[in-house]
Amino acid sequence: MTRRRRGPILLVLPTMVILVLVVIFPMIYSLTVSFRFYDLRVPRHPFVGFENYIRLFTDPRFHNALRVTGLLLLGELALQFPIGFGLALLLARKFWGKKVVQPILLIPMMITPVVVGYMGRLLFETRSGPINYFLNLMGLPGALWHTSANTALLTVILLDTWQWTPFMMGVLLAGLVSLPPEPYESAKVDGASSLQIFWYLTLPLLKPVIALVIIMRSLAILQTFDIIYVLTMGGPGTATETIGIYTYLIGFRYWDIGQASSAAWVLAIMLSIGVTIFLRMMGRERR
Amino acid sequence: MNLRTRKIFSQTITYILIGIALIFTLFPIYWMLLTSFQPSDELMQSPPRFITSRPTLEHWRFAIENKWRYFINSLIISSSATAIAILVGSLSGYAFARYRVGGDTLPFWILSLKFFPPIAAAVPFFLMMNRLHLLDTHIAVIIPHLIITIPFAVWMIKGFVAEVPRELEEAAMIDGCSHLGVIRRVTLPLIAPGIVVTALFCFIWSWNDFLFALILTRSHAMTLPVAIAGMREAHGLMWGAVSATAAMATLPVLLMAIVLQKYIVRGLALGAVK
Repeated sequence: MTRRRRGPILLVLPTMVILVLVVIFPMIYSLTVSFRFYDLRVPRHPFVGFENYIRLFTDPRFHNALRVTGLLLLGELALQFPIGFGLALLLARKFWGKKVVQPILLIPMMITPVVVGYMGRLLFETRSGPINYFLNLMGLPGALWHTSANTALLTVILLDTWQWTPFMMGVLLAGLVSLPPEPYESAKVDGASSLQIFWYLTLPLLKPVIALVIIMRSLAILQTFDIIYVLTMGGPGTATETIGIYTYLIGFRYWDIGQASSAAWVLAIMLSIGVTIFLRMMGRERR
Repeated sequence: MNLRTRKIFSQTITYILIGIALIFTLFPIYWMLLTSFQPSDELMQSPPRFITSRPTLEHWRFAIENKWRYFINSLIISSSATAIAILVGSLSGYAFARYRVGGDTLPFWILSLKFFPPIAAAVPFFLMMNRLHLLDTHIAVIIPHLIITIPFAVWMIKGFVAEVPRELEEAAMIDGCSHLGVIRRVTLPLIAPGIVVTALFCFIWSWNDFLFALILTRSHAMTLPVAIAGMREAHGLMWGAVSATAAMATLPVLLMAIVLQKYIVRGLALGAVK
């Protein structure tokens, strides 16, 4: 091996050492814990095999967490994708003041999620919050929002939509702007209507970017934690208890670290499926 | 409708829709700022007030006097996690871009860590820090934050290096520069803006983290987001004080977002789009 070959590996070494120590090692540790009865208040942690996983998959509360997370995923995508796409199409047009408007619309996704959750508490406040006030003004009844089991998940979805629709908008807009102009010119010459152009040109050309934003958002939604912690802590009851919140409560409220580890591993495996799809798409994008 | 009126019509619709989007985007931020400047007796009134006639600094004074140390904690933790990530990330980002170390597999594995769920790492980190008696120290939070900052830094810097034409480096080498000299005098100055952008993003991701800090700190090393979440229980209905603290947490991020505005999308999409 010459010096030329060893140099690059040395450059990568510090990164790899750190990542092995902060990712691989803790995950292996967590895997071993997930096969033990590990209650922090009890000094001994006996090996129990798959019992934590069996308890997890037979726990109705975990089934509920899966259902809540699924609903959250569908609800958020159903709102964020169409709104984000619509805004991206608007911003792809030419209009006065675009240079100022565009960065303003991106602001929400930079704000600390805990702060967003707190904003939700202010805005959705049932008695004197501005949202119920506006609803009353339009002759509609106010809602109980995050304080009722019926509307709590919807409130979380709306708040997260405020924060993350800009992400959909921004990425889709970047995709729209980089589309090749030639097919559009010939379509116009052929007299295609704008609806036809959108359906037969824009959508198919944008398909890779659309798939990318949807998978990236999905991976993030499956981990939703911060906003819910501040807004409802999984309640009322278990109405907004996502997998993330469930794992936290099992581990750090009930101190059942063994079962929390098994839940964390199930979540990590679920996500790795999505991540594999994401990496495939990134790989294709670069070729 | 002739062409002209149609154009005016579509322009008007664009402005109306953009206007609605702006109101929806800005109102929550405005509402939080307003609450932080309103005297306590004006808060949570029905009907709500949309402007205040008697602005006060009492909540901001409370936030700064009582929550300043959490602000400093956040600052220490985020700067450290950023500095380490930039240091090791520049080295490996350069190596990945120029020498294709580890082919596609290694950089892609690092990229995939951007989606690694913090809750999965939080449990073992809690046990390890507990055993090492490091709970509630800055280090206990800085170390897991590297999971957030390093993969991002590596991937972004790799992208920025790849944009520097290889010919530039080769030309300097022919002129008698050593390899390290080329990196220092040619490549580094060219990617410097990219490194600043990457650093600001790393800082924001670390600043915005809640889960690691929640589990690994109690009081001494508590970060600002954890302090904000904790105010709910401790102070019941102190809306003004919480708003001022929340605004205090938002301010640095907003300032950085202004600097970053051209790169926000690229940063969030991990360079998948420019």
